[in-house]
Amino acid sequence: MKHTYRNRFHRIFLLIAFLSFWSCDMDLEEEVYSAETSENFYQNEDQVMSAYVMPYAFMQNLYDGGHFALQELSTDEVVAPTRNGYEDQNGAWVRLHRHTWTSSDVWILYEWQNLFQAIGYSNYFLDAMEENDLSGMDLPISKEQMIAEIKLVRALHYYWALSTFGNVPIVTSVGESSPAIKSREEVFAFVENEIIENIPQLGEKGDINWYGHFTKSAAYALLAKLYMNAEVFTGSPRWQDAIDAIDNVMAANYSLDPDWSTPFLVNNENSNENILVVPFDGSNATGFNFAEQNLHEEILFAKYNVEYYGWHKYSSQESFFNLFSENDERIEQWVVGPQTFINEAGEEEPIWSWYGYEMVVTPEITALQSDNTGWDQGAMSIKYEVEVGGLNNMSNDMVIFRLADMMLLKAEALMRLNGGAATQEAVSLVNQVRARNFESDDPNATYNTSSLSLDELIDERGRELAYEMHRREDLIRFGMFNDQWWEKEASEEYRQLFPIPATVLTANPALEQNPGY
Amino acid sequence: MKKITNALNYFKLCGIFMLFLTQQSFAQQQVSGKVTDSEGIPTPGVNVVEKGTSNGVVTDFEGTFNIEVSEPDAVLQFSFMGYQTQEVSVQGRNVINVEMSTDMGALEEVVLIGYGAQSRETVTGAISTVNADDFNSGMINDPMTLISGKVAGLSTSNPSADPNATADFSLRGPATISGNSQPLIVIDGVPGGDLQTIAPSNIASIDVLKDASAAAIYGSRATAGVIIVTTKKGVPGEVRVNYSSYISTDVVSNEYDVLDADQYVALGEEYGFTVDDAGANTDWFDEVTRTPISHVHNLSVSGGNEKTTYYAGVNYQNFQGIDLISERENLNGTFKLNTTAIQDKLNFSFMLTNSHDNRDFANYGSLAQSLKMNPTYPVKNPDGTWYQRPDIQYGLQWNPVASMYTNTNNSKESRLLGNVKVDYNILSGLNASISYSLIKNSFLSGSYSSREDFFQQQEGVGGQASRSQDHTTSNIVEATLAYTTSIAEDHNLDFLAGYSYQNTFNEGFSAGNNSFNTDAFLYYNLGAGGALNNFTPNFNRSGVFVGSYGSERTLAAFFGRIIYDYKKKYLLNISARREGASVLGRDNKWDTFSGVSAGWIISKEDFLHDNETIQYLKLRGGYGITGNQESLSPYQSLATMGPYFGGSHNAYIGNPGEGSWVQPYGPIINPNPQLQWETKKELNLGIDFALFENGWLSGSMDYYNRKIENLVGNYTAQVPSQILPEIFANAGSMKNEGFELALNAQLFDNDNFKWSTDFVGSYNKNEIISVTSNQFQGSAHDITRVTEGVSIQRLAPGQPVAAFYGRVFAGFTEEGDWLFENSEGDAVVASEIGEDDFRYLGNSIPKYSLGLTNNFRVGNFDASVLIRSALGYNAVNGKRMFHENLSYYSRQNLFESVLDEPIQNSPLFSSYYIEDGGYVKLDNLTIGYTLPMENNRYIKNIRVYMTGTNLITVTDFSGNDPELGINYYPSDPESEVSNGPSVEPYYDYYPVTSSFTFGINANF
Repeated sequence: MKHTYRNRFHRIFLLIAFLSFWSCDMDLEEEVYSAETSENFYQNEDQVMSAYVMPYAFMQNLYDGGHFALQELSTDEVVAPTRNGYEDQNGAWVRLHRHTWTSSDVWILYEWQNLFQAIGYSNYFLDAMEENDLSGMDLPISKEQMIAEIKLVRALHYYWALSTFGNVPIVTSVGESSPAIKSREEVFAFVENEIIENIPQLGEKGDINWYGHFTKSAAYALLAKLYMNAEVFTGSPRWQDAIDAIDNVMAANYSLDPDWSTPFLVNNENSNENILVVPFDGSNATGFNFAEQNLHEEILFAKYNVEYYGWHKYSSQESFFNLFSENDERIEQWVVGPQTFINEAGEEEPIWSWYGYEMVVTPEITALQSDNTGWDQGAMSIKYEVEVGGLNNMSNDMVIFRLADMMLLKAEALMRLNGGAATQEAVSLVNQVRARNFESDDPNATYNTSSLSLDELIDERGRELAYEMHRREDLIRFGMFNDQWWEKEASEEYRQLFPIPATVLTANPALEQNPGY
Repeated sequence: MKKITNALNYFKLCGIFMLFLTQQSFAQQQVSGKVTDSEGIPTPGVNVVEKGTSNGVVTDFEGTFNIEVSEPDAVLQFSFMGYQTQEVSVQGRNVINVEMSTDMGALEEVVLIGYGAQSRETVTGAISTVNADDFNSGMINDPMTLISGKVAGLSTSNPSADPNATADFSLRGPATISGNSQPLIVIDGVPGGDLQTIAPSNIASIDVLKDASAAAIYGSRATAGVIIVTTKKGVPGEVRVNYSSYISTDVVSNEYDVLDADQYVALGEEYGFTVDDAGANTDWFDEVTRTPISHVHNLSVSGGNEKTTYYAGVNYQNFQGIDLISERENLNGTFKLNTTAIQDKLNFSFMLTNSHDNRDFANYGSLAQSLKMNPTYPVKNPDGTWYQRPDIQYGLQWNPVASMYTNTNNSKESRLLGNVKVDYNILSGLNASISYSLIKNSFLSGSYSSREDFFQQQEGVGGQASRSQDHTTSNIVEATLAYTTSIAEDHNLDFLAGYSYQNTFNEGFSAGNNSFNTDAFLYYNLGAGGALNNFTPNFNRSGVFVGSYGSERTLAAFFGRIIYDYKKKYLLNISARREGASVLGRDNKWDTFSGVSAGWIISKEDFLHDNETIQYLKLRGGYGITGNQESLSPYQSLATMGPYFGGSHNAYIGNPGEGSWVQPYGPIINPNPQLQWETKKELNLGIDFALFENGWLSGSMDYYNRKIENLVGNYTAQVPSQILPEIFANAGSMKNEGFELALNAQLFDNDNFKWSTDFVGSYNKNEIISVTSNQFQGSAHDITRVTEGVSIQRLAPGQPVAAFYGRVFAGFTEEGDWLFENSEGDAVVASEIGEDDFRYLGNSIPKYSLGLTNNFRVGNFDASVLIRSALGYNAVNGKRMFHENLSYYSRQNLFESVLDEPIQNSPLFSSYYIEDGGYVKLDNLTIGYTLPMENNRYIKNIRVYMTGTNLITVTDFSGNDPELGINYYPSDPESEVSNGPSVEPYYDYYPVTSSFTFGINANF
């Protein structure tokens, strides 16, 4: 009796033990709940469209990331002074201004990461397109066009990498280990080839999905930019190729807006001038905090009735502000002088500063670094319209390429082919861009072949394209980037390229640091 | 009372019944008597054996026994698990009454070793045990503080007086650079428990497995050590009722001296600042604090017979913070049942404990703000509304008293731990056991910022409400087979084989809304907020959100152990655990962890056998390999996609003005299919000893050297071709080397006066050896940010975890500007200092941790004094950087110390702010009196006591308190500010207090 009793227990026990083992999932594969594995994606139109727009959406980081900082703060245009001891950021802004940055500077790292993250997202989508057959799906854009567009997004970021870091690896697929560095000539050829090969597959302005996407014109604009800087990038100028590319843009359906400010309004999607923009929106597409970065909070509160605190981080340098004459309407893009607002009673009232006096913004900034001055110094940009009652995430779309830039570039190319002297066609192009900013009888409204020099053209580019992230490239092309200005000494020529960030370099031993660093 | 594992208890019961069977009866003398415990309660089940024979009986339910002994001079041995074994000479008596004592000698103590127990005498690993009698008393919010300063090598940083704060603790230094360095918690055999599930008063003992050879049985979770918590259980005998209660209050023990109104105005005038004098003189700190009253009540009932024991307890705790709003109300219920069935072959044990918390969270920002407020501002306007100054720059002068009343932030938490275990005695010495455990933690949080809140008004949002729920469910199944045997009497063997499976699912939900037209709803009517459906352009929808998540992780393991000894003199312990985790890369999911340790009880050798001085001496050594589960997060090895930035970075599709926004999907991580275990290899060498008569001086010494390899962390990814900047990967290694000493001296031990002293001390040296592998290059991580963009600590090779890093202070210029030392040793101004000139400025995690406990008993009075200390580290008071800086005058109040040493240059972190963090604390002083109740039929005894904690601190540190956390917890690298060990933050503050407790403990 006892014996069987025990045996029965053996069996029950073994059974329970066996069941408990059996019920446990021993392969330990993970099941996901709040994400999707990439193997299971691209199954319907919505999923494909979501993946396709990823590289575009990531471009919303351009402004607040390192791009604006590197392309503008290293020039004579924008500065981020240490005001009353604030916002020193361990000297990052000072080093950008003085051209004394090192490979450890975080804003250089942010730019590298931003550019190659966009390239990575592009590669990720392109890899997926090779593996997934989308036939049978009812997509608003053909697979071929999506691939071509994303290749252009990638080419655009490679173009910026070529311009900013010079020698970079060319990676066209995710997962490649320790990619080696390529020469600037090779990167140039890659970008050129990618643009030219993919233009036929692209759409054009007026197609249903053109806005904010790469059209043929946007591709030609990129090609023009590439050729304009070919001499800097490779040593061989390509002026005529640049002119040909711009002619393709000008032949398309764009025209200069009657007012300089139209491309930058809150509703700038109505501009006829903008070729490629990054669409922003206060809630759907955030990150364009132009006013927050530039304006003083007291001004924002009083004049614009917003509910966020402005940083007043950036200012124009005084010498750059002085490029603008009083009769040039473009001077309205600056906030300077005594600051007032219209109060509830409809009367004009001065804006008071924190320090208890009426705020007067001077174009002059006492010093790059100051512990007790700076709050109310330096012209602040309102080039992008600041909406009354708006959000810090502005809804103005950020301009990448626009017709005015193309026209000035064509004028420049024509002049360079003409030994630096203006041709009538060049003068005409520049005057179209300039004259809209002046009274029609203003003698300053136009240039002629003798008054338009390359020196004058770079100033005009500054006036027209301020804060549009072209200045660094322009100064390099005009041989002025290493000059002395304000609190910056003349710098070494190798500063025309930024160093490959130290952490990037250690993470990939196949990379080589740029000369001089 | 001593802890007993269920399994051992079962072995014991079996032994008792076997003795019944073998009982013989050729005695010459009859001896009977009654066995009671120290409280006079009859103790059934006690083994009574005539020494040197197999003749024995067991006490019955009334504690009585009756034995025939072979001769009048026989010696009776009384033994029962958890009690000191006693030998009583019969000397011809017929009646012998015995009182069993739980106060065993150290060597007879039972030590929990994970899935089993062992006597202290034969343990070969580094294991410390603290029993309830030795716990710290006073206001105990976190159970870990019961053993602060009691275990060598266990560093604890006591929490502030915030009732919702928990203690920070670590064993033998940092265990990882990316995860949690806190040891694995095992509650009544259930791994992975949460200490907040159990009431401190229900804990019977805490065992700490320190070295890898001891902890290896817990394999992948053992790197940071294992803390085994055993809760109280029933004891056979009559019903025991215990009621204990205490009431506590707190007093701020260290207050910052900020400028009062007159000083503030005078300072401004002296330096020519614009003085904003609103005419009041407010002590803002006083306005945001109160005198809190906390009280705790505990009622337990336990008892049982030889077959069944039970324990039930209810515990109510109500802790108030010293700030105006924080509170924790906790209700805990526990039930335990043990019973044998079916010819005593089966033993069932059930345990269920459920803990409910209602928490109102303190507002650390408001407390810090109280130090920043202009002292000339009043708290309220004459009309009774809050005094607010939105016109001050950046909105810096917001009223902290108002903020406390206009913000609600609380949570309701439920923690359940249930366990059922069945042991089956298959054959003599062979036992099988299977257990199922459920851990279920649920949190429901709510927060509301009222329409009147400063920031709500500034942003024009009009009331912000949110709710969130989080649920974690763990299912644990464990099965073991244990066999105990002896070969040729001298070879004792214990075999254990087991299997463990644990699945944990975490899920949650949260939502928020704003624009409420009334404050009446708090967070109880989220839909009433106007923002949810307001799509007017430029309407601020920042508080509108909805989210949910789910994640899962699974662990499976097979383990085994052999414990062998020869004549209880030569000892060996081998254990191994093969463990797999779902969170690892497909090819690296399984790994083996193992430990081996050996011991030699030298004092049992002939040459020491009769040594008067050396009563006991054991050499032991062990080596083990363990892993760290806590440093791993799920889904890091899988290629996953998700929406980019939750809807705020959509892309435009369509013609201008007519299109739509499409949410982008992209990769959310750089997947790492190679992700593998972080492993620790540790060597431990130790000595246990007991010296002099009765071994009145005993202790142990340990040396350890542990190396942690394949450190898991976020490393720099190769960009390109990886997409995101970081990848979760293994690279690099870290080292901890140290020494521990524990001493116990029974200085006096007689009926009138007892005095014992315990000393524990440890030294640990931590160093990150490298953060690099062939695959991934880590670089120094800047980790602790006192203010936006200013990091002051680093993780860097060649340095301890969280080493301070910054400029080296070299004086001031005549204008009062900072001078720092550059790499050439010259003193230069700040703008000429580059990153090359930054230097490491010392460790932040204490090297030395010390605890000294003295226990006294004089008649019915008892007293204990705990002195605790941590030494050998630097600390930074982040508040000093700003509150001692004149350039901050116009935006906040300053410390009085600014009057001595005014800094006019803007604040820059440097060695100027590095301070010695070392401290010695009179941490706990308790005096108790036990009321004699010998003649009371109902009350067995009553003890009343008073405790003061954190009474005196000796330190050079300028901050609130030098106990500032001893672990580095990774934070979001994007966050503007983050905390690190031994750094008092500028933005956060919770006052340090001394607490005073009056308590009563009654047994019925």
